[in-house]
Amino acid sequence: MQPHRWLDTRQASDYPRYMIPLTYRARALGPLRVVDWAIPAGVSVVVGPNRVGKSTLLRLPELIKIAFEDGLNEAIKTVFDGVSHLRNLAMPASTPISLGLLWGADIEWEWDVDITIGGGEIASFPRECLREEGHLMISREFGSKEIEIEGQWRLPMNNKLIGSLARYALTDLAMQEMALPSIERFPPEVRESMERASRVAAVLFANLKASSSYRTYHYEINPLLRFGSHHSSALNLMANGENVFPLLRNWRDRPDLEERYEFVLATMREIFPHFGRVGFEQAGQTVTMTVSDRRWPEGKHIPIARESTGFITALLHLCAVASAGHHGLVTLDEVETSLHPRAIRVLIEAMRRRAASHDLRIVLATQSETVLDQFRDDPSRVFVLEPKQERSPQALTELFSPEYLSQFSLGDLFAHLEFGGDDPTDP
Amino acid sequence: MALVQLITTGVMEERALGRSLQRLFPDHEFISKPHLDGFTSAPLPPQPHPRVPANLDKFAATLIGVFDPGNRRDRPRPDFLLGIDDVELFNVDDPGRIMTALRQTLERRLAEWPGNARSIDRLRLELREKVSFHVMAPMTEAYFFADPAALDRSTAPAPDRANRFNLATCDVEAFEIDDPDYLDATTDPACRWRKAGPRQGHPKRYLCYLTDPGTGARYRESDHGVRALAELEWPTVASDAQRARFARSLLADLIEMLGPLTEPVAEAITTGETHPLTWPPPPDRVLRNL
Repeated sequence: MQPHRWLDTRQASDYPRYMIPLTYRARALGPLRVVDWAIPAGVSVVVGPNRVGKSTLLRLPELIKIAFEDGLNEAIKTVFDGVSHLRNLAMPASTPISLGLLWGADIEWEWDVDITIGGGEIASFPRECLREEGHLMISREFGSKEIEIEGQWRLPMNNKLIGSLARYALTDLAMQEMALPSIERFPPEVRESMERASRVAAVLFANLKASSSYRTYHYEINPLLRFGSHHSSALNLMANGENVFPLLRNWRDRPDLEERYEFVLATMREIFPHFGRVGFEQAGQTVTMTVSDRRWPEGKHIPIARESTGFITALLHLCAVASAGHHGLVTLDEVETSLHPRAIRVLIEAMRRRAASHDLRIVLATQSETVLDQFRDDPSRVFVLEPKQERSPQALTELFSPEYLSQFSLGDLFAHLEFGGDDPTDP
Repeated sequence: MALVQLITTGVMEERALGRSLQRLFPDHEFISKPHLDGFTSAPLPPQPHPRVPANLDKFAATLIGVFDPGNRRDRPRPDFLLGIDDVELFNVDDPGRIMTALRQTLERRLAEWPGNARSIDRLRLELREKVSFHVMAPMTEAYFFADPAALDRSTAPAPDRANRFNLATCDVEAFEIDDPDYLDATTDPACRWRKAGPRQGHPKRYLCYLTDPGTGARYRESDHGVRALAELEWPTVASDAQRARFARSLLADLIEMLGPLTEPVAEAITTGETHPLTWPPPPDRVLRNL
């Protein structure tokens, strides 16, 4: 059966990707109270005291991506290891846990979903709505197996999120013979708005899909160095970094991705000026890497297992960034771990170049004064999380004037608790 | 009630100086931000470095920045700001170098500070009315030797060696020891009071000596020092009218800021001499007292 003519059944990947202004929202979610986070293009950084929710904030794009792909239950399981203690205890009980997105340039779209917990898991058929310019287009009441279009037209709907309707809902609906007669009865203006929603959601989904999240403390460096990587045809770095060696080799051997390999190697040579060549060795299904140094005799190299932790950490960060295709979003938690201040400076500069050439959003979370000092020329890219903010995160330039900030090292202000710390004057 | 913020240069002062001053001025609140690096541990003025800002520069910028209109407005601004550093030993022969260096740096930073003429004039006025700079001479530990209870706390449970500082003849701010066991002991880089560097005039090293049973000094600024400073009896420290003049300058400044103390305490503090470098204020001042 052919889908109805007005239904846009293309997959998200069929759409040309372009970066859309996108604001991530969360309410009462884990350590996050009220989050409205518009991630700028380029490299930005998130700072704040421990226990304020930086790591959770950085995983918000991943959470929503998984929710769209595999449902809320899977998303919460992946990011939070389940539903227990999911609610922010500092928020009133009347505030539902919710996720949302705000996007669009000429026309503003808004999607929100409540996360209701029941029986130790996320309850099915959550309350959800999609708005265009504040106008409620599609909604579902909690527990309902129907969605409501334009406040009056009802259609059966499975447990997929209506936010992901470009991928699932309308295609599914088109296949439902029961639904088609209902659709036919819709007036033309409702069909048009449905089609518009479908297309906009497809572009949104394409953007969400291009996000990835890495945490330095999740890199499994010791096993990686000791046992190498399993042979793989992967083209993107896994969150724990375990496929880095075949990944680099795959990039090197594919003309369309060779520039990723070149970017990683060239930046590694900037960070480590004596770093020479890399080689790949495979024994059975295990792939590992060798490294040479330009100070050593020709032909001499060492196995990667003999390299420093800082070296492998920088390599993984660069592979994480290079894994992002055009218009992608990459978040890196604790980017400074194991890295010398100079290495940090070179790394961030390389990320900026990569972000500019590939239209990326790269977000770093840090406690490092050195990392912060790299944002002196554009403090609007520093986002501050503090416990008592009404809305998080706040750009540093919302807290201080640019003129004031120009007089200080941002790292010094951070260390002196002028921002991003537990204020000792606050009882 | 006034809010007085302290900018200190040591962990002990950060944690305890406000508490100690609050005991004198219980109706007001004293708060400390994390301490900065001190700028007096080398001869002043500092040698300029092409890429690294001097500690003095950071200290001056911090004093100015607290009242800059561009500073964040979602936190309460203090009514007054006190910058405090030690005289230390490198500048003890001429403490005026400290004030001169800070004043010149403040003037230079203010000349470069962004803003229009009106906002800079207003900032200068706030600095003259609300910001002070004082010194502990030669360092805060010296005052423990003027208050027996503070000395007990800093050497608790009891000193391991006899204290030969003579309070009857010596001003703690011109700290001098006549103790050959301390002064003449051989240098040992592993020992906190015998490592290379001057011992004479160094009350912190002498506290290390007093609390060293031979296995290493027990005195810790962040522990013994904090307890001693938090409970320090400033009236006792300032009880001799001709001594502890830098400390009395600080107290006189606070009295002018916050109002009079209770009478018996005030008498001991207010009848003595202040140090002319830090109180009373000069006519062409850039800060309240500088």
